[in-house]
Amino acid sequence: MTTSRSRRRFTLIVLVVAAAVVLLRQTPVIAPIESGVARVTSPVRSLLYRAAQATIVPKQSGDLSRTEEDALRRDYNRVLVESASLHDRVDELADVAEQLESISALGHPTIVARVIGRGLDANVQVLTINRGADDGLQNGAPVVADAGVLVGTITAVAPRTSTVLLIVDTQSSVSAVVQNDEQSPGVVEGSLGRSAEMRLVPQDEPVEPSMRVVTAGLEPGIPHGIVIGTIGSLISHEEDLFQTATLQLPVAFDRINVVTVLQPTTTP
Amino acid sequence: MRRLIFPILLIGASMIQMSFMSATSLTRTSVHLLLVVGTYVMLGHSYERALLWVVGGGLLLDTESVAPYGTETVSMAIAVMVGYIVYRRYFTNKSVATLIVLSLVASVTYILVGTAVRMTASALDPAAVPVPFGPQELVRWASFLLANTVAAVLLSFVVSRWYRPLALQRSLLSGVRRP
Repeated sequence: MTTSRSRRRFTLIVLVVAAAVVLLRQTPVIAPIESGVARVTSPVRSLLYRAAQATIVPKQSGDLSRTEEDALRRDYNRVLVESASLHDRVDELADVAEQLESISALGHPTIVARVIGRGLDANVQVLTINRGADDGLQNGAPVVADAGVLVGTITAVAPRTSTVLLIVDTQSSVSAVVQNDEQSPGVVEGSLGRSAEMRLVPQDEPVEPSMRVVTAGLEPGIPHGIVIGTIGSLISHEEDLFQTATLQLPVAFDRINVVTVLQPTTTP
Repeated sequence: MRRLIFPILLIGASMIQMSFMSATSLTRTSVHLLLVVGTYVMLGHSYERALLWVVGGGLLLDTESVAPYGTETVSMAIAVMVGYIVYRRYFTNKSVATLIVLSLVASVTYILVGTAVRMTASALDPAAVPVPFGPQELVRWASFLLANTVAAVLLSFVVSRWYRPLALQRSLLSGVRRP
């Protein structure tokens, strides 16, 4: 009986202490401790993350080594981003300055961050990065990888770390446009945690495979013109109001090591 | 020195969970190392130590993953408590079969409580990531349960081989009563 009672008391004490810590996390009181923990563990976690990356087997390696495949992907993404930029320069000369500013990551203050972990819940595709509120990061900021391809948005910020919701997550939703003459609008949503689809594209819009898809810039903090991917295939029925396009994403989401967070531009 | 072993193991396990287990394709179904070890310690050593392990580990995971409202802490603490109640009520031995059942019970509890906390967080905070729910998630949860159970059994074999003080009974279905 005594053991049972002391056990209950112990459980109660542990839970009260845990609840106090959890509640304190909602206040700035515990932020310095969190910041210290993150600072100490960040280098080790970065090493562990890289070790985990080494265990990932490439899906379609073919005759290429992983290094060659990664180099080719980087080159392809660079060309993709550059061609998107050129497309806008040609088609929208009147807005060229604004376009260049919004498409190019150089037009925005950027913060480079290292990926130090992934989400604990396998049903949610998120990354943990080693930058946080202390570095000026804010919720909703777009996160790009490789040459400037959108990979997600910031959804939670701690003093020294942040969580990035990847665009392949089923809960991710980003307004986008196809880079055709009509700038066909739609919404890019994650599909099965592995790919993405562009939905709500009006049925009469002339969308074709291989067309580039970029952000529409409708969400606060996400500028227009960040490359998301290209149209892969179309699912279209005449009786429907909208068509859906599967996207080919140029980033290997399970191999992201370094990302860049685009900060909102400060208007004078 | 021996007192330092527990926190060092705890911090190490939480970092491995956050940055290795969740990122490698070998364990992408997400074995929950801290929960598995917590369940094993509850059965093989003591409930108190297991509760300290999961609460301490949960707080570290919540801090490192920027999880809202102590999602991991609450989920794992309740999972071990429910596991312990089931153990006290329905089991009379510390066999591997008991570990398998308790591992399943703890994992199911962890999923249910974790989902409830995340749903609450997402309802209270519009910026929080909404909780997905559908056939795809059910498949992942099933693989999570299986992976945790397999990991618990593997852990019991490793511990039995290398660290006898925490070993379970050798027989899969031992009839020996607990002390």
